[in-house]
Amino acid sequence: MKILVVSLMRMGDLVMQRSLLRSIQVKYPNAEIHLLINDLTSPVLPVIHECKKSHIFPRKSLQTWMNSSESPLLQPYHFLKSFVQSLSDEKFDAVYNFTHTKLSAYLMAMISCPEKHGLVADGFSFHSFENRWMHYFNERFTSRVPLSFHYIELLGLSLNLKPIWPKNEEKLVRNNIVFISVFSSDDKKNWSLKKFHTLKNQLEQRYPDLMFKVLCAKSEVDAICSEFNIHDIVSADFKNSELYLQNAFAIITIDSVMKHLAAESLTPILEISTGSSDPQRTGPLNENAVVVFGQSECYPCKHSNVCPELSFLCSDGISVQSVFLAFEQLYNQKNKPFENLNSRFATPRLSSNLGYLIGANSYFRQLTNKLILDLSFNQTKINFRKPLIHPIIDEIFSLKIESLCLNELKNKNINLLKFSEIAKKLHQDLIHNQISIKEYKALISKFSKFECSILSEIYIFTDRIESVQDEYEVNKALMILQKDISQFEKINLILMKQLRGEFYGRESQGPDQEQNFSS
Amino acid sequence: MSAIQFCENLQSFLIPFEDDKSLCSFENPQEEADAWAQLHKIQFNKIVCIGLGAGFHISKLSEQNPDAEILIIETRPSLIHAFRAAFPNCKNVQIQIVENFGDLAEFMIFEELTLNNFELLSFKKSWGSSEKVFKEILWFLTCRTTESFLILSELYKFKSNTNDKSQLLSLSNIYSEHQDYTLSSLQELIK
Repeated sequence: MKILVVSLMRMGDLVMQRSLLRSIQVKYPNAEIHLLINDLTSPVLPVIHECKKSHIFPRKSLQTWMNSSESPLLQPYHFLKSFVQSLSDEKFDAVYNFTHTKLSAYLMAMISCPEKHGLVADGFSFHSFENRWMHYFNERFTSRVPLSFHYIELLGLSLNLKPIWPKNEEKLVRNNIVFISVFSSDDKKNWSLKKFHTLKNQLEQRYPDLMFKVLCAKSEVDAICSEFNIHDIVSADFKNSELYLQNAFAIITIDSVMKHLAAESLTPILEISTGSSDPQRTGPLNENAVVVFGQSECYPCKHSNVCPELSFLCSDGISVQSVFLAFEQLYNQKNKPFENLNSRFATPRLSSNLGYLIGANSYFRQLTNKLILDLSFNQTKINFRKPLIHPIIDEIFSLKIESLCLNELKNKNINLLKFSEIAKKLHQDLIHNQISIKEYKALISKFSKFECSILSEIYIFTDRIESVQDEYEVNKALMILQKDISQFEKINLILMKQLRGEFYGRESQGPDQEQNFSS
Repeated sequence: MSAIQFCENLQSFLIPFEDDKSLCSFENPQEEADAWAQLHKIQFNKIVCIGLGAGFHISKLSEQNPDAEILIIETRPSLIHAFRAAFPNCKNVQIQIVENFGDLAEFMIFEELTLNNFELLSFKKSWGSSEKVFKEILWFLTCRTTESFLILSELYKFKSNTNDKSQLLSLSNIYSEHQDYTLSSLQELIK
C-alpha cells in the first residue's frame, strides 16, 4: 500500500507533522509513506524518518517561471501537468493533505487516487468540509482568535488522525550542553543577538557545570560570529543537529526548526516566542518546555504581515532577566521532572509586564485527548448544525490561560478528581431536571466556575460515548445528547457572560432574560 | 548584419567579434561559460539556447547534459563552422539558423516547442550587435509577441478574443475547454 502525504508547509511544520505521520503508520502498518514537499523544505527530509520516498514540488522554479519574461509562457503549465502525472503514475492508495491551502487543494484534485483525506478542490470551490473540525480549523486557525488547540491536534482532528507523540524508548543519558538557537526564517521571530550573548554569559556564571553552545546552520556562522566567539558555535545540518539535540541538556530557542527537532527528541526547551510565533498554535509539543513571550498588543501577529513598528516591540519587551528566570524554572524541572499533575498545569507568572511561563501544551493535550471522543459525532454522520463543545471551550480558554491554573484548586485543598466528580454530578442533576439552573449556579459557584463548566462537560460527554457499545446505542446516546446540547450551551453561555461581568447587570431581571442569552 | 571576425586569445582560443564587440569573454571564456552554466538548473531534456557566440557555454551545457537535445538558435551562419571545429564532441547540439522570428514559425520549431516542456536559455553576450533580432526571437519563443500568442491560442484553442489585439495578452481571456486546469488557475496556484 502506498500513501502520499501532501505537506507544502515550512520546515518546522513538517517536523511537527511527524506525530501525524506516525499515526498513519499505525493506521496502515504495511503502508509505504511518500511525502510531497516544497523544494525549499527538502533539507529537513533526513530527519523525517517516517517517510520512505519524497517528491519535491518545485515551487521556487514555478514562481520564477511565472514571473520571468524570459521563460516560455506555458512552461509552468507543462511542468505542473507532467509533475502531477508522475504523482498519479505512482498509483497511491490514499492521499492525505496536511497543508490546508488552496494550492494543496488544487493539487489534491489533480492527483488520481481512490481515497483522499483533507482539503480537496472541486473546480474553484472546495469540499471535504464534512468534518466539523476541518471547518473549525479553517475558520479559526489563521485568525487572531486565541485557540486552545495546537496546530497538530487540530490538523489531526480534521483528518481523523490521532497524533502519536514522541516517546523515549530507552532512557537517554543527557550531557551538560545547552544549545542556543538564535535565528529563525523570519526577522520578527528573532530575539536580539546581543541579548542572547548577555544571557549566555549570565547563565555560564550561574551554572558553571553546564556548557552553552550556539547551534546553527553553516550559512549562519558569519552572522553569529559578530557577537559570539567561534568556539562557542556548532554548525550542523539537520541530521547532525538532531543527534546533538537527542543528548543535550536543553535548548534555548526562538521559533525555529530546532525547536521542533528538540521537541521530537524530548529535549527540554526554553522558547522565546515573538512575532508570529504563537505557542498556543505551534508551541513545542514537549512537556519539558517553557515559553516566554512578549506582551505587546500586536503579539502574536499574522505570519504574512510585515511588522509596521519601528522595532519589534514584542521581542524588545522580553528582557534577558526574564529568560534567565525561565531557564532557572527549566533547570529546576529538569532536576525534578514533572511528576505530579499540578506541576504540569503550573502557570507561574514572572512579572506583570515581562510575560508568562506556561507548561507548554501538556494541559491542552490532556484536554484534547478527552475532546477527541467528541469526534465520534462525525463518524456517525449526524450533522449538528450548531457548533458544540470546542468553540465554547475555546472561548473560555481565550479569556486567560492562567485562570485554569489548578494551583488555585490546590490552595483550596480540593482534590481534582473529587472536584470533577462533584461537577459531573451537579451537571447530571441539572440535565435530569433535579435541580434548576439557578440552584446549579449557586452550587457550582462554590468552586472555580471555569473548571466546573469545562470539566463537567467533558466528563459527561466522555462517559456517554465510552459507555455505548454498538451503532444502535451510539445513535441512541447521540439523540439524548442532541437534546442535552441546548442545555449545555445555555449553561456555558451564562457562565461565560457571568465571568465577563456582563451578566451581573441582567441577572436581577429574572430567568426570562437567561433564556434570551441562549437564543 | 555585420561581419564576424576572429581573434586568438592568450589561451589560443579563437574569439569571435562583431562590430568590435567580442561574443564572449576574451580573457577567460571557459570560466565565463562555467559561471553561466552554474546559473541554470536544467530540468528538461530539450534545451533551446538563443545565441551561439564562440560556443564555450554550449560546450559546457552539452558536457553537463549529455542526454539532452540542445537546439541553438543563431542568426550568423559564419559562427557554425568555428564552433564545430572547436568543439567536435558536441554531438547532441543542433544549430538552427534564422533571419528573424518569423522563420521560427515557418520551421515549425515554435509549434513543436510550445507543445512540450523545454528549457529556454540565452547567452546575451553572444548576441553582439544583433541584440534586437535576438530579443525578438526570445519574445517570440516565450509567447510574448502577438504573432506567437496567436499560434498558441490556435494550438490550445483558447477562448480568447483574438481579433482584439489589445485584449490578447490578458490572462483572464485564456481558458481551455479541453484541459483540466487553466493558466489562470495555475497562476492562482502559484500565488
